[in-house]
Amino acid sequence: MFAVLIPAPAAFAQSGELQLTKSEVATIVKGTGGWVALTWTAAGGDIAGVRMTVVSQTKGVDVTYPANTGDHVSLWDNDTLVDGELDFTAFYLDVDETVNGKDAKLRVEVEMVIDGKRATDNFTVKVPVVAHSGASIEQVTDDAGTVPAGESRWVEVAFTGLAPTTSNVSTAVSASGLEIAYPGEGVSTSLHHDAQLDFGETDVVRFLVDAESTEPGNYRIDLETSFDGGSVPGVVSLEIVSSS
Amino acid sequence: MLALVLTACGASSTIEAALPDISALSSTDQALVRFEAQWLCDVQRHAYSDLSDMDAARSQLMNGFGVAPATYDDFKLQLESDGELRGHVSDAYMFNCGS
Repeated sequence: MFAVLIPAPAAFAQSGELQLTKSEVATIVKGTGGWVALTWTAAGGDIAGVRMTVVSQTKGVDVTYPANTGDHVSLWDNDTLVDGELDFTAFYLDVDETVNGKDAKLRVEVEMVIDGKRATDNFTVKVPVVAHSGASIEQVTDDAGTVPAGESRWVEVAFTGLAPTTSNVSTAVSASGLEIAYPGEGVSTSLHHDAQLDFGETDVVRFLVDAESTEPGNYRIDLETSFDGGSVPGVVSLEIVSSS
Repeated sequence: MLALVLTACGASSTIEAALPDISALSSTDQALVRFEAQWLCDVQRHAYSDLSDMDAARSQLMNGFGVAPATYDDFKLQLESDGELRGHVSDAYMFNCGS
């Protein structure tokens, strides 16, 4: 008779916490769809049996899962995250032309096993949505957020590529009443990851707003984004807030 | 935290993050750590027309880093048991993608 040795299940010594590294997926153009990803990690311990359902909170946005999971989605590699591991989940979003505004919302409902016990958690995720104006790239960010008066902060403006490839993207910024500086003391700013946007790719330009001696209030920042074969103007708002 | 000015890979930006030191790793593991961090960052910045496009994008990036698929598969297995290596990937990911 053979002795059959069954390996013991992996021990989960500490309680893990599921964390979403960024609560925003790639931009989707209205009237289209795309497979998007969310990257997750486990902090402080291991997590097993990860199973997610993604619920649209915005009318006109539909979610589809990969064919092999059907009514839910798990992580890309497997359904487990060991402490500190990164993995992502992928699902398809279909965004109707009629979707209002520039942001859609999703709720990701997660079932998992932590310390041998079932656990649940929910996460809210933003879906940036843009209308295609016919340009090679579309500005995604309308509101650059806030900078406290008396401080300097890097702010981001996101762009999405709508042509197969858009090269040498750079943005120059002007704003009445605000002091702006570019990375590397340049005369413009480029995309963070590289100077090119592929179709469906979202990337950000960053510039420094020096509000050391700026009065609180709402400011308009004009953008001129150039690339091989063209350029597009843009506007983004920024609020300088009183320091507490 | 120190603000670093980045000029690598054509990018020019300043972010608040610590540049991970992975010089103690083998050159192969350094490439694998950088690839994995970059891939996990890239996949979240793109909307893909087809699920197979994700695999194609990963293969293309893998080629760019000089990483062979079999080597990557071994690396993924190693990651499951090597917390320090996972830490290097996590640090590199946050350095590339943290905002």
